[in-house]
Amino acid sequence: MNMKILVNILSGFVRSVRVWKWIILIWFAFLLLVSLFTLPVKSGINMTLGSSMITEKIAAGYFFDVIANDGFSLKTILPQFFSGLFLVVTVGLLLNIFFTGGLFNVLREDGRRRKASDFFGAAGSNFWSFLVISIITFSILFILALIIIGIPAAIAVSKDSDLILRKTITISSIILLILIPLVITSADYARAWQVTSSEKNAFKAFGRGVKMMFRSFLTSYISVALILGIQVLFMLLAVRSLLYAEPSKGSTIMLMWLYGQLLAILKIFLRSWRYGVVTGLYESHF
Amino acid sequence: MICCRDFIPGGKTGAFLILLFISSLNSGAQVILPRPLSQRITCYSIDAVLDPSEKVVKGKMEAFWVNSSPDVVPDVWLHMYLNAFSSNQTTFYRETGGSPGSKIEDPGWIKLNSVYDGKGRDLRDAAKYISPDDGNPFDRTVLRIILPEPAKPGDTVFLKAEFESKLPSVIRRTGYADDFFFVAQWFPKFGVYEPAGMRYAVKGGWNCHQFHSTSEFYSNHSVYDVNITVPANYVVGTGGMTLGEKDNGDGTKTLVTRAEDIVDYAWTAWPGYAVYKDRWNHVDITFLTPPERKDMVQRHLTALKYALEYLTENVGPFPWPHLTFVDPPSKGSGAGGMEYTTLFTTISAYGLPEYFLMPEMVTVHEFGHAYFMGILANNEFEEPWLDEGVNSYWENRIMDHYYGGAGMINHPLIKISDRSVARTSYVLSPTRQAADNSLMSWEYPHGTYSMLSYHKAAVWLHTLTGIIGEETMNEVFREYYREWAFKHPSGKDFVDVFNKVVPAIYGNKFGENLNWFFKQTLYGTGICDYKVAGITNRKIRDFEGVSFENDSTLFTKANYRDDSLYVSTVELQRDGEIILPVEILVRFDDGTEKLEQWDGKERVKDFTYTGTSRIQWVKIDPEYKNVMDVDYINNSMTVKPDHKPVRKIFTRVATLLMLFIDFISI
Repeated sequence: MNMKILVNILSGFVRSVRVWKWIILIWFAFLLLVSLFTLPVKSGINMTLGSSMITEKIAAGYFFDVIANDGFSLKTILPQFFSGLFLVVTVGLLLNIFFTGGLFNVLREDGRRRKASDFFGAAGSNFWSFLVISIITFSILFILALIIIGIPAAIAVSKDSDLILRKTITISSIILLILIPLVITSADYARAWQVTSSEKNAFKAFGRGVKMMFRSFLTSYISVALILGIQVLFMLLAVRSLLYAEPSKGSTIMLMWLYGQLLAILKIFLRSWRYGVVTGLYESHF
Repeated sequence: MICCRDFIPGGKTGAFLILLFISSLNSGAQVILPRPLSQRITCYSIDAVLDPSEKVVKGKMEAFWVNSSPDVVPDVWLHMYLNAFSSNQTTFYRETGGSPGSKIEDPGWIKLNSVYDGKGRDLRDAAKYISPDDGNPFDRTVLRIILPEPAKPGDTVFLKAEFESKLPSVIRRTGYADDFFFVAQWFPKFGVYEPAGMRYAVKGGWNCHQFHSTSEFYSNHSVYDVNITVPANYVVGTGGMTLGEKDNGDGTKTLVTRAEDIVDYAWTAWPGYAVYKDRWNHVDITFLTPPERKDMVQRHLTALKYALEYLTENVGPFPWPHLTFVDPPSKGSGAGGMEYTTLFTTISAYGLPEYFLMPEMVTVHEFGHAYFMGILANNEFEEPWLDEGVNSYWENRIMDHYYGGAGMINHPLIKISDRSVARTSYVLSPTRQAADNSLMSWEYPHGTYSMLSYHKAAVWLHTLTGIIGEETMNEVFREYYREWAFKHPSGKDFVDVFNKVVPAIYGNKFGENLNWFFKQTLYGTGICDYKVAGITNRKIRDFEGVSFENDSTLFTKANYRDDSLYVSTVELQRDGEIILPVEILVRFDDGTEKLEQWDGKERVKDFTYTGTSRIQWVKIDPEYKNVMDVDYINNSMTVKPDHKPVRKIFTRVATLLMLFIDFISI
């Protein structure tokens, strides 16, 4: 069993390395998307601050003193910032759903060399199905969170003990964390099946995904859970290192940018790795 | 000290009854403090019994008020605060639009079952609810009792009453939540009789306002002997010193408590409290908190000791040897953040991160009220800024002093000073010019009470500190304490202290007095905004071939001088109405700096320099001492703007956003 899991994980890793070009493409698309939002906002803020030396306060971490000024209209900037943020996240999610169709296709190993037309063809033809699979997955996760955390927490609140509330939320969160890989494994199997099938039916795909997940339960669950764990750990380390980096010169800020982009590429690679593992499992079992 | 025997009215029988009364009230005895700190013209002795199932406190009260005025006073006025929560027709309800209690089915009220004077005469028929502020016939928060005989100067008016106080579900820092009780504003309490000349009184009269949505208190310093009977399993905290506790043998216990020279007495009871004891110099500290918040205990105690230390050093001593503070459980969180001099409530929650200093801030703020309206007992109804604003100012100073200049959030990534919070509230408020600080608490328009009475007042006090210096400010407050402790200062008295101390230190440097400052800030609605409008660096040129044709001058050739002299100019502007002296720091490209002083009066002001170096940057108020300035961004200008901090932030934002989108993409 252990060996099988290791082989699957390694196979997924190799598949993911093999599709590096597509990972770079996805990264670049995201860089463009995010830049469309951040660059104008940055320019707007720079224009607002003009030749002021208030940026010294920003450098020292005292943002509040910059926000609280007549010259910096928080009421104007914040709604724009958050609506822009919402738009970028939404478009980003849709873009990812699109690219995921391509990724699942190029991760397959059937002796064929995958071309750009294969990648984009699969991305386009599976988009709607993958979108519905994503909605189903998000809905299940939301309902699970509501049932496992929300309801017990609401009951704990009525007990009026901070400690009971805290313990309830901790235990509920652990249960939810155990269940999340089940849902995600099912979704990954669903998508692995969908790219190989000519029938584009998200509900059928998800049903098959659940079935396939239970058929090779331990191998699938442990493999996906391990990679999800690595993804979460990576995110924590990446976010922490980014937040606590304190570059002050132009060159070191550029280095931070390069480092951040490397992290973004690695993050896409990790996701692709998980898809590769599930694609491998799908191909070997079904 | 006023001896009660000096006030005995009536004949021998009356004198005997009253002597009995006095002995029971025990006001002259020194149990806690070595000597009386106030005139003690009101005293209370109360036996209170809590009925947890009915949410009622039954009380027997004996109290007196001494007519220390030169007036003949025909009546006494009492606050009946809990009646503010009795119906949806009270003035409080009309102002807030909320329910009488936090739940509509849980009103609060207080009623007098009996009331007698010192000679045993029934005063019920002489008692009538009045509404001196708004004439609302449904408001029953002020009770007027016409005395059988007017009180002559020096007379003592005794009252003996039985009352019932039904507590509302927790609202406005009083009430109950399940088995938690915070018993505040709970007994009939004398207003303050103000003779002509006291504060703003032009003729003698009772100052006893109704309970308003934004008002708090104004009371005489009093002695309170309060016996509290509660179920035996309840943990009790009070504003008094516990002198004894006895088991009544019927499942209840009675605590014997006493407080001296405080302006209000409140108490709390809940079986779930964990009790922590500590000591700071002469002060025994008791802290009541839900047991699961034990991680917060040291944070609160440390903050309290900081406040004790700072205020003792910079304002005056904390005289009482006892102090109790309470962190109410979540269900009673509505009782959090309130002050009763030697008892106050704070707030916190389990597991709050250490960099988030809100719990410490509330502890420091509420404790600070022991000074600002506890010791220096101003009229909070009429001049809320004088305690809330002044207290917020000191809270800002204490928090920022002890928590590394970031007294609200002190995290490596983000720092928010407590002073900034006050400034932000004022600067970003669209109604910051809606009123000045001279209004009664309930007259502040459009929800501006908190912003104007807490934050704007704190902001102009910080600004004044920037002008006269922190040590001078401390000296002003030390004098304010020396002159007004255990009395009732008004805003005018507060200003007078400034006008006495500051010229004594600085002579005429800031004028004969500081009225010019208070007129613009305390009693004004203008805003303050100084800005750098421009910097110019111009090379001096020699001209050749100058000719004059038809009275016009023609320059045919301009040569730069070999020694490259520059004429550099800083252009400053005053955009706001408020005029304050400001400092301007100018830096030249050879590294030299020049600190200029500007009286701030002109709308436009230039500083011009001729020399070999050019101006690199200029800062108005380089140390950000003028906290009233509504725009810090235009306070400085540089010829080489540095946008690296913004770039750094957006590099982070872009990368984190990319990581986030990928993370939530399953």
